[in-house]
Formats: sequence, structure tokens, C-alpha cells
Amino acid sequence: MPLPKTIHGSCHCGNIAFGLEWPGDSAEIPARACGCSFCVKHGGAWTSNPKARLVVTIGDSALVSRYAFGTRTATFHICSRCGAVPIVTSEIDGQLYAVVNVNVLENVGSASLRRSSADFEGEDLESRLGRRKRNWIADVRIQGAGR
Amino acid sequence: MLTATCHCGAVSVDVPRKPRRLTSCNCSICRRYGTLWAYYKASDVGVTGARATHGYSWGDKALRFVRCGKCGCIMHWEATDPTVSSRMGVNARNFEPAAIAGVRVRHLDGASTWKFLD
Repeated sequence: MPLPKTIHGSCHCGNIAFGLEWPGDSAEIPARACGCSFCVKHGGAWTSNPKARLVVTIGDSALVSRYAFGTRTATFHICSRCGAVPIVTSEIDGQLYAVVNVNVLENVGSASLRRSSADFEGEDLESRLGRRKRNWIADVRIQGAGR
Repeated sequence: MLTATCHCGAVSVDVPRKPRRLTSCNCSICRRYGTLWAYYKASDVGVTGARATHGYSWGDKALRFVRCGKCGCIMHWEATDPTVSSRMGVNARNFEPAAIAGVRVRHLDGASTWKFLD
């Protein structure tokens, strides 16, 4: 079954929601279970495509907390009402990149997820940022819910 | 005894023994949290750093999901009214992975049938 034109996802209470336009006509998306200390504790599995387009809509920006650790180059956006972590962003050379959590998707079933594990332990900073620039979503817009 | 610790270290949860099985649930909240539940009697569980936690309840608000307010790690769920249930679910993702290696994971269809899928 082809992917929906726009993949939707949100935290449980809806404060952090997104639409992800996936390029091409693939039937599945990657879901990388990251082996870092944060992702293991959060059961996080992430997807991205450098040609995808992501629009994140925040209901109440006062209810988004941001967490970073280690190299502090990635920011985890945690809904401070319900606690889900729908997106991670990384600002590199003035540009915002992102990955989204496959656990919060609304209209993509598990059959459409190509699961793998990823371990970036020991990667140096330059390689890490280079990998994100190549693989993460590069067209990212974060907006308020508006009226 | 086993200890579950959040990522930033502000909150920890002590349980008396290694779980015999773990539950992965596909309901709207568990799938988003990516949790793996180990069940205990609430009176057997010790929470350190409770002041650093935030809670989330919705719907009938029978359960409160408790997480670290800083790093967001989901620590446990508890009954909002402890006279209704003495059960507690502790998120095994916060144990050292080696401590729960090999423990059987059962998949609960919390999204619809409330039956195990395996």
C-alpha cells in the first residue's frame, strides 16, 4: 500500500503535531531504533528523508520543553503536558534539520515501517553533523497553531 | 533489587526483583511513549526524586503516567486513586538493558481488543 501523501503525527494531547510530505512513491519508510542512552530509555525510533518536507504545528509553545545532552547538537522536543517526544531537531550552519518519532505517527501502520537499529556511538562530531545534513529532513518549518 | 533511572538522573525507581515478563502495549499512549511495562505492587516500589516528576492523565483519569520533568523519561504509571488499584507499571526501558536481557516481552493489543497478540 502506498504511503499517504502527508504523513501525520502528534504527541498524545496534540500540542506538538506535524505533517510530513514524503518524496517519491515508496511503500515504506525507515524506522531506526537508535542505541544512544536517551533513545533506549525512550524507546525512540526515528525516520527522516533529506527530500521530505516537515511542517510542525505547536499549540502552546510554553508547553514544549527542550532537552539536549552529550554534544548538545540535537534538541529533543518534549511535550510538557503529555510527555511524548515527537521530533528531534539539529541546527547546523544556520539550517534546521529534523527527524520524527515513528511511534507518534497517525496514518502509517507498522507494516509500512522498515525497522532497523542504529548505533552512532564513537562517531566524531564532524561525521555526526555531516550525517545529519545528508540524512535528516532539511525542509523544516515550525509554526504556532494560529487562530 | 533493581533500579530504573531516568536519563538525567533526577528520578529513579526501585523495584524488589527482576520482572518475569514485560508488556509492550500498542494503545495511544504506550506506543507514543515506547514503554515496556513491568508490574509490581505499588507498595513494593520506591520512587526517588518524585518532586522532579510531572504526571499525565486523560480520559477517565484512572491512571497517572509519571515522567521526569527534565529529560522526559517515562518512569511509571500509578492509579490516581490508590484505593482502587494497588498495581503499578514500571517502565523497564529505564533499567540497565543487561538487567532485563532475555526477559520475555508480550505484546498487548491495548488499542482495541485488550488481548495479547502473542
